[in-house]
Amino acid sequence: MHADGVFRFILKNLRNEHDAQDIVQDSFEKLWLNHRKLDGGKARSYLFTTAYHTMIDHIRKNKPTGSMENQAEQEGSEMFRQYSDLREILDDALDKLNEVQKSVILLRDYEGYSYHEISKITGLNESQVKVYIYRGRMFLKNYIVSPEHVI
Amino acid sequence: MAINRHNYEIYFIDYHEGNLPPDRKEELMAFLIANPDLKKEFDEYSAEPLLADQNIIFRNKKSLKKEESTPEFNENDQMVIAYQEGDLSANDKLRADSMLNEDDNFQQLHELYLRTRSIADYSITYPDKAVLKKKSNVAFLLPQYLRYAAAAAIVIFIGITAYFRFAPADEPRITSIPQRLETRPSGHIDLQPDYPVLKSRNDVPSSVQMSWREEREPPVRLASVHPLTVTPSTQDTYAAVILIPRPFPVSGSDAFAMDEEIKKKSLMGKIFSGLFTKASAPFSVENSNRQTTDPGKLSIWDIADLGMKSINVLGDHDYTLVRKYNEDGNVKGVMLAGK
Repeated sequence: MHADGVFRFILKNLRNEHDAQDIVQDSFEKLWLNHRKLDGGKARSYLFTTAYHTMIDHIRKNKPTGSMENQAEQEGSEMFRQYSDLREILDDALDKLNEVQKSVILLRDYEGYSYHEISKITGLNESQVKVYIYRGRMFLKNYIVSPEHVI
Repeated sequence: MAINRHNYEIYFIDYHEGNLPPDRKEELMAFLIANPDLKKEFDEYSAEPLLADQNIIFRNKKSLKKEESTPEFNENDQMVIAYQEGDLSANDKLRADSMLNEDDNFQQLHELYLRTRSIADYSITYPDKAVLKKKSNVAFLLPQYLRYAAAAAIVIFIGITAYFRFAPADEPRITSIPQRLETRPSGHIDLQPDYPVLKSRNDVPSSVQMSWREEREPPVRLASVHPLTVTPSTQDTYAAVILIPRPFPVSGSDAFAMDEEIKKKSLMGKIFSGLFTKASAPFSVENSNRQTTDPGKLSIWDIADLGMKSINVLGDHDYTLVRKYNEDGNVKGVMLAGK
């Protein structure tokens, strides 16, 4: 059963348990509808692909709208946040990445997918996946060493 | 094509756009000398096009920019990330290994990047996996024989329901227990011949140790003089069965024969009697005399009886499984009875 892996991946991206459950359920429904067309070993990949695209649609539909000033205010207030451990900082840093970059990093770290597999799931090409991962890693590294994010 | 007063415009444009070959340029100059009235028009082609007013500018360009969080890569960053992602060639990996041992900054960078790795929290699991299972068409998950078994069970159940629904209500529906059971071991009670028609439980002789279920009381008739046998241990099951008048053959396919009148009157009976015969075939080899074999062991009949009870409870039915025996006391056939 790949439900747990997909659920963790979506939950980490969305930070909303209810939405994550909905997306996992939706992905499984699609899997059952199409299971005859799939090879046995591709169910996991199919689930992640479906869940990823459903999640991206969900994020885009529910993206908060607001003025640039409001966003700047929110970002400013986050600068004074106190962290208790590295995981919190890292979670915050991940949230600063765009949804594609974040997904690519999580697919790599959580599931150990190769560039090729991630490219199949996300629809990016392998070079893009690699660049996203490299840039994402560098951003995360710079984020956790910046003075305002010291524990 | 030589230049003339009908096509000179093309030459003028090409000249000013720098697309006219040198020999054509000479030709054009000669043409202008020969046609001085076109000199003014030639010069107009060289005029600069209209330009936007460069003095009008948008002064707040900074507000349009969005800061991108994509810092520049330096060589060490790239090397460390590639090392951790497994993207280095064998030679570069050796170089990175030696740098890790010799260069403190490189080692520190390596550790920093290791800390950027997200680790899945495996205590987080999907809370309700049951809802993810396929809700229909589960048959594909079952072995082939189970599919047939499930289909047969459904057909039998529908058949039972339909038969008892459509069978005539005023006819006894049960056949008899064969006379030959008289020869079975002790504990059997023989009903004597010459019994009159029994219309209620009060008509049953006290010598017959039967328990009646209230809903089965009337109408039951005994129109035959053949002796019948009751097995005390299964009185409950046979309570409605004993009082059936007809002698019942126990050999061959007749063992499963239904009352002809019922058959005629019940279309569903006709349809499903054949199915009953087929469905009950596997039971015919089962030895019913578990007391002589293994008293503590559940026989297939126990399971079948339990199944019938379940069907009765679930569907509010009143069906009974009736066995027919051969002369050795083994079950030769089975019938379903109900009111």
